[in-house]
Amino acid sequence: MSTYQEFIQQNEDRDGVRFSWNLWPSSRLEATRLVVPVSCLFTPLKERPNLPPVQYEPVMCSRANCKAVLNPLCQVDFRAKIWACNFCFQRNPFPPSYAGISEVNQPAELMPQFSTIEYIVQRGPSAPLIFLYVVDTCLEEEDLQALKESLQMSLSLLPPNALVGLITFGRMVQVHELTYEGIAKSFVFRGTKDLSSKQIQEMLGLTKPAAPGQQGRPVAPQDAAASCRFLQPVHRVDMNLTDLLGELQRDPWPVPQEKRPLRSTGVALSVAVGLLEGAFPNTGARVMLFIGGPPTQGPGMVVGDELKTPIRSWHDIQKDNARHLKKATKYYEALANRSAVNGHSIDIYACALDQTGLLEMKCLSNLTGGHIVMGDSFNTSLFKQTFQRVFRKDYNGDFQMAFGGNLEVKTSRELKVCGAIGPCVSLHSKGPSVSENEMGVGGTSQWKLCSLNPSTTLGVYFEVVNQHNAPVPQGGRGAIQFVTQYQHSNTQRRIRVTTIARNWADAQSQIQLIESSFDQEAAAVLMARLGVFRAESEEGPDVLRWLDRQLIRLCQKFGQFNKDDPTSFRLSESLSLYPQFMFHLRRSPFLQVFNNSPDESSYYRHHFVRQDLTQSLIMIQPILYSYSFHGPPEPVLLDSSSILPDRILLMDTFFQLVIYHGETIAQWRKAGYQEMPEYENFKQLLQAPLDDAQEILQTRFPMPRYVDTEHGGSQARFLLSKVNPSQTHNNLYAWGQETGAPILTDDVSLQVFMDHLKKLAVSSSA
Amino acid sequence: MEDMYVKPGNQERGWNDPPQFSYGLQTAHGPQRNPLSKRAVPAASSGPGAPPTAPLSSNPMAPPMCGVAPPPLPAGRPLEATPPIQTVPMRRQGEAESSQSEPNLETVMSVLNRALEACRSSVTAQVCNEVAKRLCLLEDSWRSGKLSLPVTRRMGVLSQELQAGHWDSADEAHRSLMVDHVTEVSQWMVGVKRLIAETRKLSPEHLKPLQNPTVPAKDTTEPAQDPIEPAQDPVEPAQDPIEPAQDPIEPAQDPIEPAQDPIEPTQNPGCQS
Repeated sequence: MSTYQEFIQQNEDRDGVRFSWNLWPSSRLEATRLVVPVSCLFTPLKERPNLPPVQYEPVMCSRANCKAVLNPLCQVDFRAKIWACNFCFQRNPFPPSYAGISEVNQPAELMPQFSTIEYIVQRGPSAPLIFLYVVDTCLEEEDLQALKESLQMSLSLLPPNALVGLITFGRMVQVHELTYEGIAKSFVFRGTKDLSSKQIQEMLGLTKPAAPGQQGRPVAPQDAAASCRFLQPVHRVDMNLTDLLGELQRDPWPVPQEKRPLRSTGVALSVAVGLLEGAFPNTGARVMLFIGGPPTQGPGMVVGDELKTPIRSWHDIQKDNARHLKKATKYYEALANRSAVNGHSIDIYACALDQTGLLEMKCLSNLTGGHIVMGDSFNTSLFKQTFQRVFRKDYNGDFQMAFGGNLEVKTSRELKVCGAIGPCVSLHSKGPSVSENEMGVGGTSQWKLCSLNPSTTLGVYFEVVNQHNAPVPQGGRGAIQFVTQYQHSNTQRRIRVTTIARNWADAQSQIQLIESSFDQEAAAVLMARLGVFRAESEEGPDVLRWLDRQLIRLCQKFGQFNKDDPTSFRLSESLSLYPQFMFHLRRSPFLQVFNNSPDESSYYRHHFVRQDLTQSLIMIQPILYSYSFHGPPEPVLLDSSSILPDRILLMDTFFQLVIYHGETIAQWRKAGYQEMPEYENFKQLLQAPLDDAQEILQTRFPMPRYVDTEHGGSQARFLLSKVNPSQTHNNLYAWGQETGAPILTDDVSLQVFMDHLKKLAVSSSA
Repeated sequence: MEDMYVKPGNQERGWNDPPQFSYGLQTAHGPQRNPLSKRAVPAASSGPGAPPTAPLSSNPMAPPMCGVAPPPLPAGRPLEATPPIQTVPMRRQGEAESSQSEPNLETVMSVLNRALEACRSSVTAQVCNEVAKRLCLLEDSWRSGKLSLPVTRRMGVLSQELQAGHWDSADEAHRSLMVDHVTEVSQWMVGVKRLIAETRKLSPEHLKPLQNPTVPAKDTTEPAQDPIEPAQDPVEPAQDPIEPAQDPIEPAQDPIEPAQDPIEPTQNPGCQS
């Protein structure tokens, strides 16, 4: 292993893990002085095509409060057939099936290359996947038609044995009974009345009054499932369901002028959650909610039906003038928690030009691992393809979705786990490795992920608890084990175990080694997640101040400088990009709400706290490539100086792909040079960024918006608002030459930001 | 290649709507050709934010001609790793499709109907009738010209795969039709889907009538094809005297076609009118 870069990449590829520090400071005090906590981004189901799962159960430590899984870091006595747990040092006998092991005949889980291993464990009957569509019918005709077709299409993408159900809602909520013969019935609920789970189940006939002979024995969930005519296997009801969907009409209730349609989203969701709760508790299920506007009546209502009252804005929220906000949020949070307890996840597909209430409803998806997709209309490629990609398959032909995930983190004694940030809920499992110092969702060593896919990534934060005067023995290593149990999309129960170790280092004598082990990309994303987590509950400026303070402290700790001399300030290579990431993070929609609606902010944050490192970093600092006649496409600085007349730029912000044609290129294109055979190379130049953009478009989830613009075009603002404004109307003439494009802004540039940072870092009074 | 295409998004309904990829393109797992994931590192000396040195200025009046500056792009991109998209950039569907043969309704329906007959012994009458109803819908839309060429072509492929017992590819053909042409096919495709599912469950002996069409019903449909197809042939020779002057390449194909002519005109003289 020659460089940390390679080590980091190899660990990410093999174990799906990126640590902020790859050498750990050996005491609590030293750890806190490093500013960025020992923490990692962990992708539990990272795609590993070359890792075939093993077909047996994991061997676990026999100590009741440990139960760590046998791994390559354990000491093994092959003669006595005993292994020592590397977390609690308990000595465990091997089970009888391991009688044949020896130095030359080791099971896979003891081999170093299997630091990540996956077990297939069959416990109980396998349960089919469940998809419950909850469909808003207060849509424009064109949108409803497009949505109906997408839903019909999805029946062809589902596995034949998956169970499907359909709830439609407008002013009323209709639960459709799915039959494969005879006439279809539906149960109608009023959209204004909140019902308890029990009432819903009774009204739907899921809990029959006990027969006299059974002495009032409650109906077992399996019985309820069998008799549940609302959720049926696709292969039995697909024809009738296709017809049913085809015949769906817009909500028939008249909508007076100056009114919004009455949309009972709250009750519809409550019925959906109650139905699944009663029929299929603790089974993988997806509620897929499709909405074309905000909830306007009943529990969970976000805005009234009077069009003259607009839906809440950030301004209203700051002025405490959002009437329904708290009540609606509380309502959806309660639903989300109930759903999470049962392992059901909730997706929201919101397609409308105005806000639809994602701010209030976001917890439904954030707590249950569901998707949020935000588009303008159901009749767009953005929605249609994003929806198709929900059913995307992996290299084995299995769905890239897993259910009922349970992540447990075990640590060696010198470490405790402070919390996790991602699409998860706490399982409130207090154990010896749980820290009292909470970061993110803390106070537990286990989290539930109702739904996860190969890119689902959690930020996990740790605390070094070793005392300063009790140093870790030289050469000692700390270890962390991630145990992820989940239901694979082929309905198998599986357990994936990742065990990693890092060396301890003495922060006083080995600070340079620790510094060189810093993974600035991981650290930026991990700190950003902490910032976004805070932003959900704190005021924006407070979060920015907190981030700034952390950055200054980090620069004070690791910068090389003479006191009070900003020009002498230097950062080593392993930290050189970190301030730049923080600069762009401060400007990002995750921390700035200016120019974004509350729904948009919720949407952006939703995606930010679940994507893997590469995608998250694109969101923090977009990627900019330049295409020209001067050579092959190359990455260029995200800076106004990169906007040149003879360049085409391709910017990827994750949510948008922008192709920008420089002034000269745009003129040439307008003059039609690309049509002339002698300018074939110009045609190729125009085509190159389109091809590269397509490659991104083909894999990204959700589909990004796609902007093709040029110098002076109104949509060029997407690019101009992201680049570092190194040239503005204020300093344009200072450069003395015309390169780049001045940005009309008073925002500080990276240069000013860095100057200020250096000044603060070297200041003796700070 | 007709199932590999990209069409523009719906700009009227969706602001900056991205282009739409066909099912074939979405499921083709090409290697990531050229992941754009690098960031430029600011020069250490000038620091971030300093202006870059201006590149050699090109003539702003016109782009460099091919001879002047070699096209830089192929150099940076290895050709062997290109997924299909490079060869089909932003093409509207239906362009390069004229090369393939016209699918035939009777052939497709005969396969589907035989499959349905084969199912009748083991599948409930109700399901069979539902499937039959949808097959009728398919036939009606086809006859009344409501189906586009890509749809009828893929139905042709689907029926061939079904007849050959390639259930997975038949199912895949059904899925690609649902994804790419849902508006046209959603009403009846679910019947075809069910038919594929039921047929694959049949025992080999029940499948015989599907795979070896010895039933008389087949014979009566076959001749019906001929009157349609050759209708063009007699026209082409008429063009020949004019074309060869313009098209030195085309005549290579002609020797085949006239060979058919001597037989056909005798069979269906009435069809040409």
